[in-house]
Amino acid sequence: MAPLEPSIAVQDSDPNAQLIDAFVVPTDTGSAVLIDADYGRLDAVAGPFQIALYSRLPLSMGELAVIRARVEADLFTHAVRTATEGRRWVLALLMGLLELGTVGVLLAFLFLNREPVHAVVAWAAPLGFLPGVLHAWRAVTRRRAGASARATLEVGELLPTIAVGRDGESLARLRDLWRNINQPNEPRDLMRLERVARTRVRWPEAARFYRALAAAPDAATPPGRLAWLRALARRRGSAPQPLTHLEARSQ
Amino acid sequence: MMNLACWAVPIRDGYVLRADRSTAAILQAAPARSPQFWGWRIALIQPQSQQFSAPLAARAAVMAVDYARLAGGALPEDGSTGRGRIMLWMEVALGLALIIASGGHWVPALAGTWLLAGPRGFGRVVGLDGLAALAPTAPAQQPLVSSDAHAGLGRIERAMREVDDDSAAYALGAVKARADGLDEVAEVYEALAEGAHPSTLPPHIGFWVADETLHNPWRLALPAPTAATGDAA
Repeated sequence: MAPLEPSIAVQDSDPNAQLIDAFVVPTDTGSAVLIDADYGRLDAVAGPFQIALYSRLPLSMGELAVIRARVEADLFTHAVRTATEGRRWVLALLMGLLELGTVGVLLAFLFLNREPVHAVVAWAAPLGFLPGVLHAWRAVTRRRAGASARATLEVGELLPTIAVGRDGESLARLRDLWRNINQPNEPRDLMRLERVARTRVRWPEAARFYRALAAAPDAATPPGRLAWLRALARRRGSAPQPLTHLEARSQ
Repeated sequence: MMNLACWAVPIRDGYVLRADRSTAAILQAAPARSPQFWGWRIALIQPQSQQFSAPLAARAAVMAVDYARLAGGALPEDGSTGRGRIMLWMEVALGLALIIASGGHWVPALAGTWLLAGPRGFGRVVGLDGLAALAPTAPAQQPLVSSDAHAGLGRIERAMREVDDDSAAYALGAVKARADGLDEVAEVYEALAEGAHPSTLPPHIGFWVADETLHNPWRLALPAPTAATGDAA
């Protein structure tokens, strides 16, 4: 039986594509994929989405397919979460103003009719009305991100092909990160990676990514009957392997 | 089309097919997307061994993805849900306090009533709090299945081949898969290392495609056999 065709071709980016930058960055145990893209700024109406991959390691087609699926999940999960934000923001703004007016009238009433119990209510009233005002503020400030998410759900599509990242600045940042990490006699832990990303490479997204990795529970050694064996393998497996983690996450 | 991934995990006598963890999230988001994108483009992640039969595995991959669609699971929550609940309770508490402390004055009573019913009720009426539909969606087009070799999966298969004992080989595969960050693969090997037969694996772990059926797509060993009904009687 004839084998199925590979699904992914690595090529130059589509001229109309909205590029989502994916970087293969070093970690303490190997490497991981960092998605450095603000999904709120993508414009699905202008063209389809495409992953622009920056990697100093050779990746197999299967690894690319996994990266593509994880990015697609991340992108559309984010879009579903964000799609309700800023919808009917004028109404939300009116409701916020109504709440502000209500709390204003209430505070004026409490001020004019001073009683001991009113003092407590006067302090608590702003807290009670704060959520509504914050909701209105969020609806107004996030209306563009919400509109972008709704457009992503309506017409957005992630192209099956993956483009080779060509942006000079991004390539330089990735090269500097790997160069700083691969210095001999230096520990390769997440704290140092974060410091290098923040101070030497000046890449705040990468620094946040390493901080998030360090804060995440150790998924590589969960409790279970084979935990001791896995922990042993982790201690022995000091040599870095390509792509030990595939973490697709938005920043 | 939606870009999905399905693992073909190599075992002693065949493969275990299992949808990638991204699949559930993609399919959960699908109902909110336009129907023109409801097709499935499944990338079958395989170790590129000689025995791998792509057409047979393709059928099983569609089954594994369809299981992920039906089993689904909610979209992962961010922190905003918990914060929203705290704010809701704060509004309710203050609303009650205002009504109780109003002492017959209409201004605090009205403010309390607004806090109790106003923001949520009015927001729901005008559609401010509407959520996207998240029901499972069947594919609108014929699924496209392609095959992609995964270097890490190939390394694991080669390492396991050198171990004679089945359980030891699966334990080794689990360790290597965890070290490579392939959690789905590791879970399959861990289940097998604990003595489970591939045919008895629960569907959330994977679907077995046995060696004996590898070259006959019409003799798929899936799903697990069920008790005969009409013929037996």
